[in-house]
Amino acid sequence: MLAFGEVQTGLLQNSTALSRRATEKLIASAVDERVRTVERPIGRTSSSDQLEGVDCMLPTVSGRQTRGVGTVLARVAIVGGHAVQGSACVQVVPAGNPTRLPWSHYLNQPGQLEAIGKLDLKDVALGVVNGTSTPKSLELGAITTRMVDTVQRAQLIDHAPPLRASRTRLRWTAQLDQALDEPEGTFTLISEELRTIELRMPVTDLRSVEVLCEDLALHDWLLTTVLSVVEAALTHDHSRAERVSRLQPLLEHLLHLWMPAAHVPDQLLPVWAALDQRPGLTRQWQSVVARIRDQITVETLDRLQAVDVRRPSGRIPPPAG
Amino acid sequence: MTVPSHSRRIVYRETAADRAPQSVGLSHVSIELGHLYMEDLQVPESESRLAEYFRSVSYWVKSVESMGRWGTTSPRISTCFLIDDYFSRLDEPRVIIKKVVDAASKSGLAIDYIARESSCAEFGTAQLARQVFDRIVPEPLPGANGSRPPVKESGWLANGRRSFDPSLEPAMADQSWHSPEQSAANRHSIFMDVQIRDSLWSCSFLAAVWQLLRLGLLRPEEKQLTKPVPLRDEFPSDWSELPPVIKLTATKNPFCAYRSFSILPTRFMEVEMAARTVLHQVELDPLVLEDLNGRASLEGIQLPPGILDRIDYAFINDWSPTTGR
Repeated sequence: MLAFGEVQTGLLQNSTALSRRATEKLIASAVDERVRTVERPIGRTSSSDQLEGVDCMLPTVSGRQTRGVGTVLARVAIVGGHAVQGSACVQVVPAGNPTRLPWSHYLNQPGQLEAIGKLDLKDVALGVVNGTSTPKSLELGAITTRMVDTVQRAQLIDHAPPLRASRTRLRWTAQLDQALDEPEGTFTLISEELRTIELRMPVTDLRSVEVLCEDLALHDWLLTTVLSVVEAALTHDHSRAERVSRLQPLLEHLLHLWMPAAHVPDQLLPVWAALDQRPGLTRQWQSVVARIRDQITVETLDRLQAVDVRRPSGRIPPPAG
Repeated sequence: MTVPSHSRRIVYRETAADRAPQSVGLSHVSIELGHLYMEDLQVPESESRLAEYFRSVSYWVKSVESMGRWGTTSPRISTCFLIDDYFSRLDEPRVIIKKVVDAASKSGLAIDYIARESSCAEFGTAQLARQVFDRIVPEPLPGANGSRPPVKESGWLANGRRSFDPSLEPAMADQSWHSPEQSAANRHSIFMDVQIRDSLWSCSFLAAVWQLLRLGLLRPEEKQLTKPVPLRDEFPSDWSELPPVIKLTATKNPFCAYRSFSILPTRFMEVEMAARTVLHQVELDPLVLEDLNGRASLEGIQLPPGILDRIDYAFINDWSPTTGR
């Protein structure tokens, strides 16, 4: 069985982290009342799954015309009061009928697209990853953008984010096959804002794969955002004080959000473990965090020294007690 | 190691993240004995016409009881009747309810439950119609690929593509006329376009809500909607003071049921067709569906997976020679 989806991640347009209650209120007003929050190990509030009906061509690389009819599952989530994620996914199955059935048939199988016509799952998977789309083919990206926008445009947030961060998109495909021993996959950085992951999973549950991909997308976005801020701060000819003022928002708002595999089901944890080994996401994260802290420490020392120089005795008094 | 190791000795749960639907009692079948507009109950000969109607209904009720398609030899069957207090309010409840119950009893029919149509729209804090409306996932027209947001704000819901007449839209004069088209047509289209609401919810939409309520698919916080209040006499003088669903007999069979059977005057056929057009496009709570399937399977019953297949109908012309209508 083939599942695929897209996750879009961005920074919530608000100056401070939203509390749990404010986050729930925001999502309830933007989507609907059925809001779900998980608090440990990091707060994550998500909307209920929204269904959107589609009847269009599936993406393929061969140009084969396979019609898909059914519902896309879409949702929006806020993590740690700062990161917004819009996510959409589907599972493709061959249709039993050559024509379209009454709509209730498809509503009964949320997140399932029935493929009418000849279906080549490899072709579709490649079509998704390569982003081959015609005006007639499925556009999950439009749905995830809308999900993120519903939250970002809300009146309940102040639209004055503490730093600038671009949105990133993760397009994913997953072959769901219970016969597999271990999950496998290929993670590719396509461009600054687009990543893909092609997975083979020993599960049949679409939602657990979606959770994994949302988690990967969140951490990839964190790393991308932090690296780009650090690069902009350190590679330009800024004064040290200026560098620190650019790095400080990261320390205050983003660094604590790194929590790999926080809500990922056990049997999919090996994917994270593998990505940590190579390319070594957590190693890179730890190194960039250390770099930020070092910069701030050096600046603090600078300031202390400056204070010290101005003192008449030229010595820092020993700590009291 | 940044990823926690596989420890299965500790189970961590957050109850706030788990939802459980309200529980309801369930019969095997809920038989609707009829639905009448208030005007039907106002005409001078209404009592004899009603009695005549219920006489025909009584044969159908016997058939339903002996149909043997409910998965058990001794089905729990409850009967109900819907009174329109939403579009018009005329005589007080005592008068109307007595008229209906007496007419039914002449044919040996007992009405276990009477519901007010307005409670399908709104009762207390429960806004059932709004809730169902919010769960509508409009069916996509061929070509819908996610790039445009679905629209359902017009107050209309169709089972396909509407016709297009360029003479009515001069700005689009370069396009030619096209016929309406049913999305799931069986060669030829039967196109339905249903008005859901204007300033009021439509009768067809409330009929869809009514089916969902009887099928135990709505689990409102206001328990009176699914657990009717026993009330035999001492009816309030105003309809709004009457509980949304009342229980008139000593039956132990609950109001909600796995399946519904609606026996209706034939003139309600369009309303029910429209209600089905709506029901095809309502997303149901998966937890409620799971609850119903689980409860049924404990009784050794397998429910039809599609909810439209859980509804049966019998239509009877309520014209009778005695009234000369």
